Amino acid sequence: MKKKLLSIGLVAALLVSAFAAGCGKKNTDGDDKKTDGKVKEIRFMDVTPNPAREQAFQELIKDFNDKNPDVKVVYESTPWDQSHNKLVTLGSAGSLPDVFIMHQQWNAEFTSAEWVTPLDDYIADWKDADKIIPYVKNVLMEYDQKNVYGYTFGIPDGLTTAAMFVRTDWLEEAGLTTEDLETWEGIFEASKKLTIPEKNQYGFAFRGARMGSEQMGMYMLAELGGKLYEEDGTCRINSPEGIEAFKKYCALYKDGYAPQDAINWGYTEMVQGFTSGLSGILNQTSEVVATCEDSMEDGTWTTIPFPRASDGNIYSKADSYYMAMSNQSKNKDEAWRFIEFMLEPENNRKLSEACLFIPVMEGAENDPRFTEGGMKGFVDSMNDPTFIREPFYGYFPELGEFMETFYDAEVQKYLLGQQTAEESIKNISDYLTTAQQKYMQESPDTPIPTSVRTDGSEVK
Amino acid sequence: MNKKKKLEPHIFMTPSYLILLVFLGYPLLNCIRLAFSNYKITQLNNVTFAGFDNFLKIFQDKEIAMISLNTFKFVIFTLALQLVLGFILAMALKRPFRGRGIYQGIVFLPWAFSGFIVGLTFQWLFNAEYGPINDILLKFGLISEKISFLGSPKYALWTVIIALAWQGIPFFGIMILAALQSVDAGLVEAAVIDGANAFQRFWHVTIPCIKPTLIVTIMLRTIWIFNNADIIYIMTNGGPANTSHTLASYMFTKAYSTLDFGYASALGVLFMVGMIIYVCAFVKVTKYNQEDA
Amino acid sequence: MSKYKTKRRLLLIGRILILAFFLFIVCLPIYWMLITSLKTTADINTLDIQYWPANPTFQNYENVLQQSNFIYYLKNSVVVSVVTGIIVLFVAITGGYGLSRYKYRGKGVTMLGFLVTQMIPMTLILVPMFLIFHSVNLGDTLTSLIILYVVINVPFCVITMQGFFANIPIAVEEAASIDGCSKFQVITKIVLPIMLPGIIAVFVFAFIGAWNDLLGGVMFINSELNKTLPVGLSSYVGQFSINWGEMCAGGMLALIPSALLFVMVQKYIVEGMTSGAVKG
Repeated sequence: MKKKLLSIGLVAALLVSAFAAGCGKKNTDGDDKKTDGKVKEIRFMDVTPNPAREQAFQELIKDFNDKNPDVKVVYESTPWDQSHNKLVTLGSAGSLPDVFIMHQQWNAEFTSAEWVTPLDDYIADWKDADKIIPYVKNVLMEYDQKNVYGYTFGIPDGLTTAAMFVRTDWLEEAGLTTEDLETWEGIFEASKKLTIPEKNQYGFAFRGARMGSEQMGMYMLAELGGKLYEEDGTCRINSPEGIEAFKKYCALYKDGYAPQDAINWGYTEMVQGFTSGLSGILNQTSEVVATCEDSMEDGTWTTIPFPRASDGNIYSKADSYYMAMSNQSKNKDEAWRFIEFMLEPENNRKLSEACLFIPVMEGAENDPRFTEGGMKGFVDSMNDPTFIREPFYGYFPELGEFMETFYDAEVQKYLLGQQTAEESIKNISDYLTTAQQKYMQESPDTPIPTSVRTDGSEVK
Repeated sequence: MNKKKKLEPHIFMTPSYLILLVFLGYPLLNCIRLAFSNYKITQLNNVTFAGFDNFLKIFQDKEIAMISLNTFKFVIFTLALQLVLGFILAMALKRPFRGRGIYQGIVFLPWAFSGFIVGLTFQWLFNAEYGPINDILLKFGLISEKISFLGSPKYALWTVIIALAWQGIPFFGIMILAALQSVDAGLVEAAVIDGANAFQRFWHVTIPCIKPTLIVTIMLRTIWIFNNADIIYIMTNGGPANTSHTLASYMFTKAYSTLDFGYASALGVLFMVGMIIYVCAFVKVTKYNQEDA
Repeated sequence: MSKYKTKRRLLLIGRILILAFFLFIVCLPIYWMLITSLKTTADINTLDIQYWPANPTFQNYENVLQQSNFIYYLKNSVVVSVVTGIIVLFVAITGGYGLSRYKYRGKGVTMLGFLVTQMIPMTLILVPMFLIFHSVNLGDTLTSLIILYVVINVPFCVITMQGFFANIPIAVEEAASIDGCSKFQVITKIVLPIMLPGIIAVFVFAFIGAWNDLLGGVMFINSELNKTLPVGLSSYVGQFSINWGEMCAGGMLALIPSALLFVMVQKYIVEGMTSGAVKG
């Protein structure tokens, strides 16, 4: 009898707990989620939220919802560190948001998993399509997407490129001007002159971790004329020029123009290094302008265009997040209407201003919000006639592993003196050659990663 | 009656069985299945049987020797720090003193922080340039120049160990304290009457009484520390040059950077086998099962 | 006699030193977060390390409370953690009792099975659970989080609880049975009161497990108003910069409920034996 009671008790307790859990649900479901059949709900997810950006999105979404009573866009966000994980989970569970912000690093994954919708038909009827600025249209949409994957899946929403943040007051003290920093050679020289260890002052904000090697790679590729692979897929960095460039860049750290700790620096630390007055030169993208404005005195810093390689060209990169539409969306037409709305030139400028991007639609060329102050160095880089966009390391599936676990470690081993420059470069080069050649056999139609000019022409 | 008696334990176990079967049974089987498949989340239409390929890939990694050693250090030292300090803390808290409630409320706080906040804060504390630890050591003249804790292969792993130990001491403290409180006071009194000194009482009465808790806590904690990759990812990302990676952080970073769930599952299976061996050995060495029934 | 006194004094000093040592190591990082939460951005981003804010400000706290959905995060976290703690406790008491008090075939395997679950890569648990929740319309709810946390914490807690049961001599129960108590009475009236410290410890364990989790919260929750504290706080960690001031302010505020919990339960953890229900 007692045992019966006990087991009844157990069942009751289980029920209670299930009920308690059920209550939790009721509380959270909210009231405005009710869709009365006609209003279609569009879920939109941002993957790199910050307060200014979220506010801009929320305002634009409210505007859209007011103008489109039959659609209701719901804003969601995931912190950047977890966003890749989250989207992959959502994707494999078949419940991606209708529209989401996507990073170009995920192109290969998301297309081969077929999580993104081809947008070419929509673009054909898009009234603003001719207002997209040439670089975005030619390079980011045509070259990077259609050329490689056969269709367009992401509409860039704001351009960001690299420039050098410099401490003007330090330059002055050292008897330098920003013109001395026009070339990489000038950057190396200035880093030396700006370094005063007694004052705890270092020339260059070196990034040694969390894909810091990518920054080293930008210089190395520049000195290779932007050419990463031979026609047969052999990586070109294992050459005298490649090794020399590698050594030269790493000397910034090895010779003490950056603090010893910099081997562990990622994005946030190198930015902090610059804003706190530890480093004098910082290679960063335009989003950082806001951080500098917040914590540095006016007149002590500026941005200058990305430095030229020894052949006189600016080899750099300029990417954008994409607005992508999920292939799992049930309301694709409504989702497209939302994307279209977000890219109306005026709305795009609004978002770009909040996020410190260069707008992707024409009409911002004479807008002081995007051409003056901290943004100047970036716009000037992009507008330079010699601007060349460097190639990706590849489209092969091992790319994530290479970038996240291999590249940095090999470079760090040289920085620490655990192996020679030649060994590090050989390991990196061999890895890339193997992966690229294997990929070329499996997908012979995909082009070899190549540098491109603003008009979309390849640098051969 | 006899039959009922036999059923009794199972009645008690039903809720736990249910929860585990419903929610963990499938992932467990799936994990084993995936371990033997070529399963990349981005190539779901191309899933094939892989045999032992995924396992071979694990052992062919040339960093595996160093990283295994790191893992060993990481687990042993984190566990030792947590256990010893947690034990001392529990002993110190055992007898009442004024303000003990508040004191306990504060000392247990590290446990109430999310891992990423602990990681970020310790990363900052140990930073060579803006970090207060270097600054304090310099000011007190304990070191003559800045130490790059996170940037040096010598120290990076230790900073992670310290951060994780800091967070875990309260857990041991609470568990041991709770166990100490259920030690029968009568037994201790009896020992006093028998003329046992403090150390003898501790060793022959207290320790045996809390042994089950100690063993279980150590066993569970070892597994938990072994699996804890977040704090490494946040503080050092395994660097410099992989010197602060452990098996869990290195391998899973690798698996997830290519979304290779087959590889990740193979790791999971391998870790399970390792853990089963560890638990069996641990139970045997500590004679755990013989004591309790 | 004086020798005895000196010994006692030495012991006392030793104990005070130990307590002070723990207070110091615990407080150092927390103090750092506290003063960071009171600093301005410029004072945080400086090489001139300040051990007391040069320009103390509550701006960070104001921003956290007014500009974010902090109150919602807090409420969600409390609901999720308390419910998780209660459910886990129930399962752990029954399971722990069953494991520690009976000998039956498959017991060892059961325990091993519990432990094995801890080695399944988290993602492999999250994806199928995510699918289940979506198919039963529990996507993006706190319920889904509660279930996840119960599942994750149950194996640890059952085994821990079993350890606590094993600490208590079975003779205690047998004595009570002879006195004519039923099994149910033995457990609720005799065993559980002795176990109170362990029960509280397990509850705290499950509570904190749910309280601190970030990954599950990120994966299962989409809408802003359903986010939990760690998810909310992690949004201060941007791609390019960390908003230290507000993150620390949020972290400090988030400590208050756990601190209250610790103060509340510590009484039970240290007073377990006072009920006097047991005589060896």
